[in-house]
Amino acid sequence: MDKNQDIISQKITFINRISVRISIIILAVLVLGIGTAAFYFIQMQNSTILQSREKAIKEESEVIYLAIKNNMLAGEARIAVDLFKDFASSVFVDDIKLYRTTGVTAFSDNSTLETVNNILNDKKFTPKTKFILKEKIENKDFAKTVKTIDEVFVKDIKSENKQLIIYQPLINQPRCSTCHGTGHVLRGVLRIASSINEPYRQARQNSLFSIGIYSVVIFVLTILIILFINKVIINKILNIGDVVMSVGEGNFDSKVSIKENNEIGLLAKRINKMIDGLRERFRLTKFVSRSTLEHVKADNEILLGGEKKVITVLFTDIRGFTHFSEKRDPSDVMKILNKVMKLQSKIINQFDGDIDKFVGDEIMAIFEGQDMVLRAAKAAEKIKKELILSIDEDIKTIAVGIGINTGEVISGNMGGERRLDRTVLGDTVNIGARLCSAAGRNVIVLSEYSYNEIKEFVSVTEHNPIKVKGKDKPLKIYTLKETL
Amino acid sequence: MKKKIIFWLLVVLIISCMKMEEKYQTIGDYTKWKKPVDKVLDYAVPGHGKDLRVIYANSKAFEVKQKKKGNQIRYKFPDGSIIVKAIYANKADVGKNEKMITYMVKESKNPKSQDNWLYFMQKKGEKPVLVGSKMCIRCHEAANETHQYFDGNKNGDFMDYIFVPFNK
Repeated sequence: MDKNQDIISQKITFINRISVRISIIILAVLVLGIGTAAFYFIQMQNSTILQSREKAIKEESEVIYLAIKNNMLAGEARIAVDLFKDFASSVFVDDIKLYRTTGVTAFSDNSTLETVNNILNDKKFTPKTKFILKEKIENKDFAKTVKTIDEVFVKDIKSENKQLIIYQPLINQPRCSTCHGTGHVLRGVLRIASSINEPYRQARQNSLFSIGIYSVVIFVLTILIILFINKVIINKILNIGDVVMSVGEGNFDSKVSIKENNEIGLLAKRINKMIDGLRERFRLTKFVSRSTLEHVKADNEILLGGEKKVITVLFTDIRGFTHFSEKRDPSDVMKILNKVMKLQSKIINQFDGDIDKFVGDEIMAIFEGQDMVLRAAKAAEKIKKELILSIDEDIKTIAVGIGINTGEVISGNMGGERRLDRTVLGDTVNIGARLCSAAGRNVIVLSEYSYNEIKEFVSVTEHNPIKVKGKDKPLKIYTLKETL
Repeated sequence: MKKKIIFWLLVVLIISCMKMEEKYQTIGDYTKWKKPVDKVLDYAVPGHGKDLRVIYANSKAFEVKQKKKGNQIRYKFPDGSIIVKAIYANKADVGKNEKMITYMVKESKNPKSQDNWLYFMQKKGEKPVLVGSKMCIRCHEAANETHQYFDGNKNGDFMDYIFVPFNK
């Protein structure tokens, strides 16, 4: 029982639970597998958002470049400056400026105008009095544009105001060269700065939203998986475990009530079949003695044959049973007989005796080990008393005669391959049976051998030796008055 | 296995791209080609300054097609067209001692092409270099508008980025 209690009270740690382990594995697969795919997808999506905006900005800058290039052909700085202002205030760009190759802002003085007039050899263009603020740009991107005469794209995403800055070289085209001369390829550099805050904000929002949805999905999936595993597998396994525990406690009427057509259902069927088999075998054990059971448990191979040992044998027999049963209905007889047998069996077991067999109204029991004779005597005394004092109408008139003998016997297996019996044989047994036959109603007869073992512990009446069947020499006997 | 496949695909792509440009590392004796304009171009232009220029083109270039679209004619040079601009420092060098040659190759399927043209520049004694910047194309864009060279393209026809009139 203690072992069962240990099993019942055994707690499974959280991490050892199957549902938890499976959930961890599935979670790991979802996070690593689908998570990796989702991460890649989000990255690609964000990259697409950013790249498409960058592409749009580059295309817008190309349009701006063409507009400015053609606008500049008019040669009027004011118109060009106004165009720049319009672009700067548009949604396309944050800032737009034209720089000379020296890095100084265009339209900040009359130097270009004067150069043009010199080339044309004509004061075609009137010097201006109003200029835009003179600034000088000095950074490696501008320098690179001037050197390579190629576009340079700069992504400034470190500051709060994220921008894509494009440095566009303004080429001295054939039509430009009419006024500006042919001695140079690069007229200036257009710097266009466009905000890319919005696509980054969108990308960030997209990431957060995706992560949020993904987390919720993972969480819900995990819960559902745990619930599913618990419902479909774990609870059913625990149910089977409860039934097995109940069977272990001797309740062979327990059954697993799972009827599903799956592996668990199949296991349940097999368990139930096993319980049926155990129930059958358990019932069979009632038909064999305890020593037979222990012998079967201990012996891997059941062999015919026996061994010598010293035991105490106790025989009881209901006095006048034949006469008693003649007058009664067989079912009543059986009922009364079973009551008496049950009473005697209980007492014999109480004193650690082993019922070897029931033969009609007779019981043959064996006592082994320490104090075997005294225990047999006490068992016999109690049987006698309980029958006498019984208030059960059926059995209070029943009396038994009991014989006890001690000595060497042969104990072993006899019979054939398909049917065996384990019993004890020998003169000791026969004498025990004879003493029982000789015992009167409620009389307990001890053999000399038995009495000698317990004489300090019992009060007896000594009798003259009696002659028993099968023995030449009369046997000295004692009747038990009481155990001390 | 996947990494190996990608590696070899890249190698093939690079080699094929290289092969595309390697194809034009040598263009042969262009001086034997036909000239779309016979005269030596002696007026200053941005990018070449006062250097003298002689234009040659391979036979493929002369297969240029024309298509009328509304009031505009659209010219289209076939892939493989090569137009060479031999540059000379002075008149005495013309035809003998070019300072540099630049040439355009029509390769519409080449990802490095700019408006379907590859621009090469080869200084005397050096290997040709593919021009990656927009230095050349930004100027040649003007060929598709009215300009001051040759017939001036008064109609604003789409000249496929070539100033020199072919088959006009």
